[in-house]
Amino acid sequence: MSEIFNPVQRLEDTHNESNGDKLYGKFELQYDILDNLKITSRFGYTKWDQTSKSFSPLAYYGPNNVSSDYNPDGTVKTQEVDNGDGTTTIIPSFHNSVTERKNSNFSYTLETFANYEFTLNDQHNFDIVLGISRSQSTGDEMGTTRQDIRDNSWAWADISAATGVNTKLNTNAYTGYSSQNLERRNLSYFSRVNYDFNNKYLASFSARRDGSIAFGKDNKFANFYAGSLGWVITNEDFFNVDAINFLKLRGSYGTVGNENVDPQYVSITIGGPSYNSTANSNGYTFGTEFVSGATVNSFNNPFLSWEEQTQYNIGFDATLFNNLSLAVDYFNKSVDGLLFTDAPPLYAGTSEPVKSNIGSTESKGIDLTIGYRNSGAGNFGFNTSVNFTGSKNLVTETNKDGTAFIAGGSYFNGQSQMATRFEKGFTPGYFYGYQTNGLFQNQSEIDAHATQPGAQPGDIRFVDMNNDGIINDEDKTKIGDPFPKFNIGWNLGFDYKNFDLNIFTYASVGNDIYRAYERNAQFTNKDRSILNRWTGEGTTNDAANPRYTFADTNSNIRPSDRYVEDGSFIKIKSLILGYTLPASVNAGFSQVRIYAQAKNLLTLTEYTGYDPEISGGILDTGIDRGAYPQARTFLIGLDLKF
Amino acid sequence: MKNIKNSIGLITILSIFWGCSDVVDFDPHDEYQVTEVDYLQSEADYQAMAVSCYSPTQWLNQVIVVGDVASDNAVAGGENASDVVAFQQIDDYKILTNNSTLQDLWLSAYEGVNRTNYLIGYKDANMLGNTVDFEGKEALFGEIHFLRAFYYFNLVKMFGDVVLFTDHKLGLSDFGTLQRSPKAEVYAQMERDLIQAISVLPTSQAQQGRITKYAAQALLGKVYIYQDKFDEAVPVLKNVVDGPFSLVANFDDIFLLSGENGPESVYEVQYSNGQPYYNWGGITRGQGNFAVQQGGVRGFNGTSEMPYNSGWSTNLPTQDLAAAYEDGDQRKDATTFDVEAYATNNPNLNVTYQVAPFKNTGLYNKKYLPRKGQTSGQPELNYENNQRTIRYSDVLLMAAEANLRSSSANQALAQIYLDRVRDRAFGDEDHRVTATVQAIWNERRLELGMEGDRFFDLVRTGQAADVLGPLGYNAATQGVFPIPQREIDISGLTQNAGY
Repeated sequence: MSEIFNPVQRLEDTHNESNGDKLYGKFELQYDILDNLKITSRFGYTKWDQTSKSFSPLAYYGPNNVSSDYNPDGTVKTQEVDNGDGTTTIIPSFHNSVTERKNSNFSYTLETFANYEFTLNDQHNFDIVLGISRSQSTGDEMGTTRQDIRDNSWAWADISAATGVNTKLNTNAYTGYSSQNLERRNLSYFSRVNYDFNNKYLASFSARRDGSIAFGKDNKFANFYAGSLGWVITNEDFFNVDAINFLKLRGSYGTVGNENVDPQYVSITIGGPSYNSTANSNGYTFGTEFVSGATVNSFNNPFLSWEEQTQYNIGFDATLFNNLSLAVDYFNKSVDGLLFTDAPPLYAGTSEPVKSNIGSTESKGIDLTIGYRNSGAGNFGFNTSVNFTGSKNLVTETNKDGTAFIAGGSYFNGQSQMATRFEKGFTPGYFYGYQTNGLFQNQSEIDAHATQPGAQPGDIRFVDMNNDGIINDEDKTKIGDPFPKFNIGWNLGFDYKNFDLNIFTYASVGNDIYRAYERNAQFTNKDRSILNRWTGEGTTNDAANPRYTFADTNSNIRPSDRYVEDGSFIKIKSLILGYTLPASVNAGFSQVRIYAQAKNLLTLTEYTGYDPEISGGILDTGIDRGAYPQARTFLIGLDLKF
Repeated sequence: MKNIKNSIGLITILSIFWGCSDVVDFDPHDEYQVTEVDYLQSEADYQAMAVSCYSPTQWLNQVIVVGDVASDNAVAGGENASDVVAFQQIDDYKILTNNSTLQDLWLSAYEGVNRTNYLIGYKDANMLGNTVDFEGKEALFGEIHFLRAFYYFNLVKMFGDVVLFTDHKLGLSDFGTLQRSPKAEVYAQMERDLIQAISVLPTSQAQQGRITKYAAQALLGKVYIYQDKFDEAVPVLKNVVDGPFSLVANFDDIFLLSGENGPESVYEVQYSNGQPYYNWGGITRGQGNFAVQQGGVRGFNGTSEMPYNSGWSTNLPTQDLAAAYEDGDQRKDATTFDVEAYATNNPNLNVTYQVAPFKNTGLYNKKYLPRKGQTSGQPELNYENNQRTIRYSDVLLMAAEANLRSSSANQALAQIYLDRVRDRAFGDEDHRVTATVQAIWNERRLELGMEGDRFFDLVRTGQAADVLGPLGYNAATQGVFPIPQREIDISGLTQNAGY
């Protein structure tokens, strides 16, 4: 039941307004007990209030669209209701409405820590920190909705001007609600030791114990450790190479936690029809009387615990010939107990799914940055740096016996489909579907192929991966990988006299995109590639262009590599041109700079959709559901420094 | 200076005090949330949960559509070949394993199983171990046992062997651990539940739509007949045949609003338009009967006296069904609605309509045609027509069949039951036929046409390959639908043969 809307009409009928006030700051007290022992208490807070208003006008999207509030003749749709005394009344089925809401949020962090510095034998420098921190965030919201806005117009959209009054026949004319935001609380104990010997050998070690409200009784707290070692070779007496100004070898290892989930409990929902994600409705009608009911609304996961990210890297930083810098790292980042909303079996019913620790992933690769900056002599300054990152991503564990996987990347193209999987031994969220092998040109080709029910000439020939002579779900395989083989970022800066110019270019190479926005339905727009479709034997053998059919007995629209494209791209993400006013005319400011910026100035790609840069969660990376492309933005700005 | 030092000391101590680990304890009551530990503490709690055990029966209205579209009674219809794809597949016997309608029915029935399991699990003691007793508690749980059997019956008749669990609502530790049980075991569970229900349920209920002893007996009879247990079916169905039911003289009236919960109603799933619902993400999950909207005539307009609303020309009766009725059978016009004839015969209503754009048969399901004034809010989702799930005539025909096929066949009784159904249909006693098994099966098609029984009857009686073969029916499927692919992916269940 996915209606197709005219997007311009949708935009016209959307009215929102929102104003926020934010106040943030901190108090800090420092107590110097000894020269080298300090105790610090710091209270940082954010207070954020928002007032917003939205207007839902009566709208018309065409005669057959279920979201049309009007009849084709411009009258509002009506319905006949029983008054209970044998008479009926005709009332409008729809009303326009305005909603006003206010919400208020407060969060703070309170931390207290002691810092002790000391030196042994004039060479061993120690810096030790021990502390405790506590944070909390709360919020609440209230709102009112009222129907019947004059002229169906945003100009009159206000509760005070709306005229809706609750009656027996319409109890939704004037309603209110209130809600409490989930309170979050954290508690951490932390410690850190920094050590250096003559600025040659550096070491640090930290340990922390973090507690979060999000997890089950036995899993609230987890310990995280980090350590690093460094050796500044250029500070050694024996090192004497003029070309190398600075060289540091370093290595680090660390773990951090992620608690980005809500606390879990088994809630009871009481009432009637549901509008939540699983439509877990309540209530029943006995005769003509509706009776509200109650049911369990969520699963429980008492085992939920911290997601732990472990990263180690080995590398070096160097400066050569005074103005050439180089940083090289090998990194290995693994995530254990990945937090994700697990898809429950269908036989578990319509309770809302909960977060689980679904498995482990590993990402390893090389990160390389080379920079150059000229000496700045004369009026001309120049700097550039290139960053290269290449990595391999792999799922190393799924919950159960390693054969379990999670399916995702759902979309609708006339049928509900799923295009990605999280499975051991593969890239997280790799594309999963049928492999195609051209088109059937005639009946004899169909007869010669493995049994593929419903196939006709012009339909896609799918590959029988398991060679069992039948094309079915077991022939699905890996058809794409949303992760790039490597990324390159290139920064280029010039300044000449008072002008400055900065260009940032970004490239992603080897990432696949799955086109999930194509839809096989009559009376919808089609991509122009439909002109290349198969129209008879020998016209084309491209699996992306089968015969066009709405009956589609072969299910050409099933997930397959037909929809997978190379999404490599190069983008000029930002270009800034600035001019700093001469000191003589800067009117009392220490610096005045005006600048013009273009964002997303240019995209070079072979991808046929809107925008090859598609963000998404683990199972949605690279799934293009027709997301709104990133806008090309032009800005003019003014920087004032006092 | 000393004051400042003191206050710093105070803050330091305070922050350590605040640092007690119970800071991160979570209490849902802080958010005013009712949890399962808080619930089932009073009679009202038990009654409210029992009500919601009924809700998923409303979500199963698409089983009715499936039962006809999969048979020779109806075609999928719709706007075009890409509309209502799930039903096109069922109609064409080319069902993909990701069929969205079948998946939603599987999910809905299992939600019913989980809800009833949960309540039955806390019957004797709630989560805190306390017993909550109240008058009528046993009878209330009779309703719950009936409902669990009803959910499993729908699952088995669509999918064959299904996952069977009865002791609790599934939690995370159960996910992926269950496998399908032979359908004989599932039927045995239905029998236990229904026998339990019959032993405690009253013969009548103050509220319409509440399960009665007769409803449980009728369903148990059906469960027996689906297993060819005719000896067991005869006595249990006799109770209902001898119950306080009668056939409505004017067949058409059964399906009017005024005919709801009438003298012929043994079990009806109740719907209403009193809770206007607009969630297109869960079209069957409101209080309205979505199947009504599906079956309507497109662009159906006329004067204000014209009683019908428009719909989506889905689930269209075949001319084959219409032709199966003899002349004089009042059920023909009450089952198949010939829109062209209606327009011609009622010139004063200025009837206009759009010919069904796909798989047009010229006919519509008269029993559930959308009518003006019977919906509300989002009109497509809120039709108040009850689903006549088990009618007295169905019971008579089941009793006739059971008497004929039992080990001690009672031809005379079967004849009496069949005659009652046919006499009502024709309004006279001149159209009686000899009560053979085939005659009863044929009568079921005519009497229960467009009520969702046809396909399942054909499968259960072994006629499916003969009758539906010419329409493309794949006998290798043995008359069951595919287990949803999503369930196979998540839970590792086996697939049915033929898919």
